[in-house]
Amino acid sequence: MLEINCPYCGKRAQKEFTYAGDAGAERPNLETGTNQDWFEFVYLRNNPRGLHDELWHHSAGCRRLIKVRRDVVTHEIIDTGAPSDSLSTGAS
Amino acid sequence: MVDLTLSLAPGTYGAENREGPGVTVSQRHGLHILHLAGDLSDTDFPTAARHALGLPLPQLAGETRDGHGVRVLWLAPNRWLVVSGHKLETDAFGEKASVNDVGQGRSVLRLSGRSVRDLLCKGCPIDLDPQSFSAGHAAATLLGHLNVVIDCIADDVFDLYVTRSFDHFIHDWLVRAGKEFGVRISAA
Amino acid sequence: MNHQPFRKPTGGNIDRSQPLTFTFDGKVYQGYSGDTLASALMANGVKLLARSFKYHRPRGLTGYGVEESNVLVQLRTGARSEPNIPATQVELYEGLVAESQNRWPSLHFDIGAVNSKLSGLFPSGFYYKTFMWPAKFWPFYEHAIRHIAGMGKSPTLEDPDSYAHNYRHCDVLIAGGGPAGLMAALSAGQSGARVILCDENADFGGMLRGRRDTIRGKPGPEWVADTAARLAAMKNVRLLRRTTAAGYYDHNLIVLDERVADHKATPENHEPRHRIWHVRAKEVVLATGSIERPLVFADNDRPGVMLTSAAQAYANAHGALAGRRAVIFTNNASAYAAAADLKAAGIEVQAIVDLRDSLEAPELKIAANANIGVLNRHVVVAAHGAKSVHSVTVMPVDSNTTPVGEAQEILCDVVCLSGGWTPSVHLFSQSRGKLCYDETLSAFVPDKSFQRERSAGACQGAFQLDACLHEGAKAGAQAAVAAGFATTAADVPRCSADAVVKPRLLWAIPAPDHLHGGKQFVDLQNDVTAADVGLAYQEGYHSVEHLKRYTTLGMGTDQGRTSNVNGLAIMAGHRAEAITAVGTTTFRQPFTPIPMGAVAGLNAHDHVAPVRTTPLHHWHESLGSPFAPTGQWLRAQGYPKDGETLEQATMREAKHVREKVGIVDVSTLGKIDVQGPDALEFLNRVYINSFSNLAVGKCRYGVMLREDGLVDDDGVVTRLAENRYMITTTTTHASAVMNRLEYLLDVDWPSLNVHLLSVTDDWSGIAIAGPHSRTVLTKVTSADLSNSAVPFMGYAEIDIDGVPVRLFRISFSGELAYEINMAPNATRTVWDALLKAGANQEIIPYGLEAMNVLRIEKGHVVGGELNGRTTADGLGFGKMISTKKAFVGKVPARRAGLTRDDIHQLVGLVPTDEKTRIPRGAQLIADPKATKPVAMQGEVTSQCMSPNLGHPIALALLNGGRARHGETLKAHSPITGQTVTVTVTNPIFIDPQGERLRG
Ligand SMILES: [Zn+2]
Repeated sequence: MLEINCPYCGKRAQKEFTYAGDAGAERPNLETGTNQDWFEFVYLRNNPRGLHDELWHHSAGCRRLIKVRRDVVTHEIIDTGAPSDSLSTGAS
Repeated sequence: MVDLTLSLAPGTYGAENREGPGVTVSQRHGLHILHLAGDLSDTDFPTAARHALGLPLPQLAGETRDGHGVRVLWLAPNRWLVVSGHKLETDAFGEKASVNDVGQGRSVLRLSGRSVRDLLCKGCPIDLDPQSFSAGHAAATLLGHLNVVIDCIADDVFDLYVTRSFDHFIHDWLVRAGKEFGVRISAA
Repeated sequence: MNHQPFRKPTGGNIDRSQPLTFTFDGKVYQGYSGDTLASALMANGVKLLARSFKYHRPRGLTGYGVEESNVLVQLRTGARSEPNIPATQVELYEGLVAESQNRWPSLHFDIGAVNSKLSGLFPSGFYYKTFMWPAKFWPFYEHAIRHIAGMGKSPTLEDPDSYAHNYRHCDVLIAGGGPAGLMAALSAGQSGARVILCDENADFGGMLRGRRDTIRGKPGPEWVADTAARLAAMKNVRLLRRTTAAGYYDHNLIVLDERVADHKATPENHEPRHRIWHVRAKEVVLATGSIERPLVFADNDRPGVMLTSAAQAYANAHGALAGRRAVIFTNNASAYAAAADLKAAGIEVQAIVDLRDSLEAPELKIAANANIGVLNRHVVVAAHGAKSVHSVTVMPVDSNTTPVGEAQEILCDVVCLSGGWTPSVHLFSQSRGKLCYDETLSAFVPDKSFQRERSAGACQGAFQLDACLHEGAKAGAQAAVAAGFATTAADVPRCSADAVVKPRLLWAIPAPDHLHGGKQFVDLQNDVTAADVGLAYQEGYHSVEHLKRYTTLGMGTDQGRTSNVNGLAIMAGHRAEAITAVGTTTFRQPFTPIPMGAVAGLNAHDHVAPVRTTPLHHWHESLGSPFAPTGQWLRAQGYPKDGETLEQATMREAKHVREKVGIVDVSTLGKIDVQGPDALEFLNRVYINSFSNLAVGKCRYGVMLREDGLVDDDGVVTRLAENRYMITTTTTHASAVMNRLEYLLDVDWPSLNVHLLSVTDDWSGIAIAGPHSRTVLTKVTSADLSNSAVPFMGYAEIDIDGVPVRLFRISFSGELAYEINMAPNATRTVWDALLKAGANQEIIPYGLEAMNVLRIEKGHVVGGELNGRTTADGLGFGKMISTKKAFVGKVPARRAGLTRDDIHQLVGLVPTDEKTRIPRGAQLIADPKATKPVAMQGEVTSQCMSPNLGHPIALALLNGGRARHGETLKAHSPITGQTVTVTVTNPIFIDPQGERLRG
């Protein structure tokens, strides 16, 4: 059970959140996206070892979507923010 | 299937203690509740809201503000719950606000007593210790299965906002969870 | 009955003024308050307490606490009966009833013991080798094996007890209340940090409970009591007794299992039996102690063979004597103080058999003072006896630790083993900390921490009391400082000295030839011997994880607490490698078993999932309507009259609505308020159809696709004001649709200025349907409801009996119909007003079932058709798809595979005999007698008897179905085996032109 720092509400238990997918997947433009763009957006995901940007829905809190940079090996959460934020790499 | 009638009946359930029941649950009727959404960065909106409420909107996470018979709870960025004993006009917040009357869509339960925090800790994952969560704090969080808003009124008094259709279920849950402390469901 | 032959007349932490009566295997005994079941049985001289798992060998106590491998009992009776409970973990209470396990018909005469004689048939991997073929016999084998292998019996009655969970946050959590944990709590507590100290036992003290150390010149238990009292006086410190730190999870979440009422006959005054604590700790101190290791030699499982520390603790803490004559067999110095304690307690210690060459002065002094003979450079090669040990064979060893020379037999009824100590690193390892192997201690100890924790005392190899006290004090202070508090280590009291543990290693004592055949047990609970480990090696199972699964070494309730290191070392010996190269298996949660009821907590019985009810729930209930769960909602199914079945009521209601008028509770439909200057743009992007020309006060049906182009949900969009809409969703998809819309706004289109709010509960819903519906409505409102004022797909805000309502002219049934939304508290007023006003039109309430019949007759799709695999065109929405605007799913929906002619398309079905019901979930095929596999052409998604057509109908998804109306197919249900011949039809059975709903 992770503890996720919601950028709006503060630290909350994982059970208040719903995983909402890969934050790296880029939605094609509705007007100009090609079939191939949509195919990649819907079906293809990277599965990196290490840092991964994820979207989580704070479904039992503020109901906002947030971006979480998590090390999927250690579960360490490096940074969180709004979906459009660029997050820290954790290197200091 | 849940027996939806039993736990709603006023009475005392569970442990019998010399000091009386550890928790008392009563339904707060007649509240007017608005769900207010608007962009704080747009100056018209906060100004109109301040005018309508007579107090500025709380801007910190989990902050509540009181005054003029109105209590305002921060729910999320740009979202508030406005609770009052008198009716507030939904169009008083200016054109930029999105307002919904949610007074009848939520049950508001007043929980009080010496064991109230222990009871809430049975289903709520946030830190409810008095040093972290005291009067002036509210939180949208979980209680058991349910999304709720918990508003700390005083050290051992809380208001619990629950989606109306779960009213029976939350009463049933509170009775089950409260039995070890003794729980009194007060008459409406 | 009161005679306890193996109880000292005085001494121990028991209350002799409080005798307790208990029953074991039907025989009544007496013990004292402060006893465990194990200590009470020992005091009564009951030695044979269990039969082993595989060979049914007689077994007795080996341990004092969680490490007990043998004596698992069936505790309590009836609904509270619980299997596989270690007797060492059971606090005695008045009236306790326990039964031994793994024996039939009795412990003393156990038929299964024949397994022991046939043990050649039961090598490791036996089940895999013998029973896996032929595969279809496995269920039979499994049944037979379970019967023989035994273990306890699960209760068959419902658990009468309640269980609780508890979510807490603290600065410092300390797991283990021995000397290190208590000192840690003092240090952290004085800093003002929020501290939780938990210990699995009835009271704090850990190793001090069973030994005769002194602290500040007073007996250990006195210091423990003083310290616990000091801690209890600190408001920021919470003390949890009988509470096991069972699991260490991510981000410093520690799960504790508090046994609130297991030490009583039944829970009292509504207390939960167990309470599971979910503690999020800023910092953790692990002070989990260590467990003594046994030594491996022939027949080392005979009742009476036990850990030295266990025999010592029974004598010191309970005044219970493991026997009359003991032999101590050790490879380290820690056993000497224990030997002296046993002697002082009145047990004749025949000899200390010590594997080591040369002994140090302190232990020699202890032996001399206690007048106990020491045989150094000797080993016990075998134990003798059946239901109790009666002697051991002892031999000298040479410099290679090989037994040589003359054997001697020593009479004894207790054999105490000390093979060194194993730090309890379970929590540390669960926290993903790295272990390293300490050669001096011959044990795995914590190396590198992974989370915010630190170990103190015996659990990291500091076995001496003085070290435990110091390390605990330091760790507690460090944890508090790391959590942001200023403090220094608490003052450490002076204590008595104890032995330094440096074992000399001999992992399995080689058996001389004349004793050949004696089993050398490594894992007593799973009957795994040194030979089994050797066999695993021979057969290629060299890795520890393979070893564990092949031999079952380290499985079961004790999880290898006493067997793990010995087993690994024996494997390392075969591999001719260091133990570090072999490694250790992963330690998993929980540390000790947790009852399933405690895991479930309050989320049991009818609280597994929450239940939602509408404002009319009690009204439905009062009319005797049964309820169907739909998502989380309970929906009224129908209103059977006297003598009617639900099916009959459904037919009557559905017919009546088409002929006259009815009302139905539709409060459960999802409703979302959409506001903001970009609301229209937002809706245009999420629906396949456009709302640009939807006027204020009008409704329009809408369909949403998923990102992959398949249908997600449908509903009605109503424009309430210029920049305000209300959209409806299906009951079951409401929360998923809301989540997706929030996602789109927050992540993909943050520039759109739109506010969403789920208002499902803020507006209740009543639908009125049937040819007379306008007539009835007109009686309760003064508003103009004419076709020109409120046409089909029109919207109006009107008053009904003084209640302001939202009126939507929409129809799910295909009849002239309206949906009314109102404030929930007014629902009953409006409902009653309609029933009263409609009396002359014979208005009736109808339920979910009739509504479902009406919509099937009309070919409306719901959950069965919106199954996540259908296209908009396949469901008949092709004409709605906008070609002018972009929307979610548009591009993927055009993919070749989704636009072929032969994909699933919605059709109707009628049985050709116009009588037989079409089985639900049936597959549509051409010929059921064709050679398998038979090509499936489609599937039945909804079916009912149509009261308005007089025959059964169904909706189905059929490959290329729209072009196949009139075709005959077979609807075959593989579940019921039924096959019905059906004709493919238009899915709209009633009024395909839609004249009624516009009427
Ligand atoms: Zn949040």
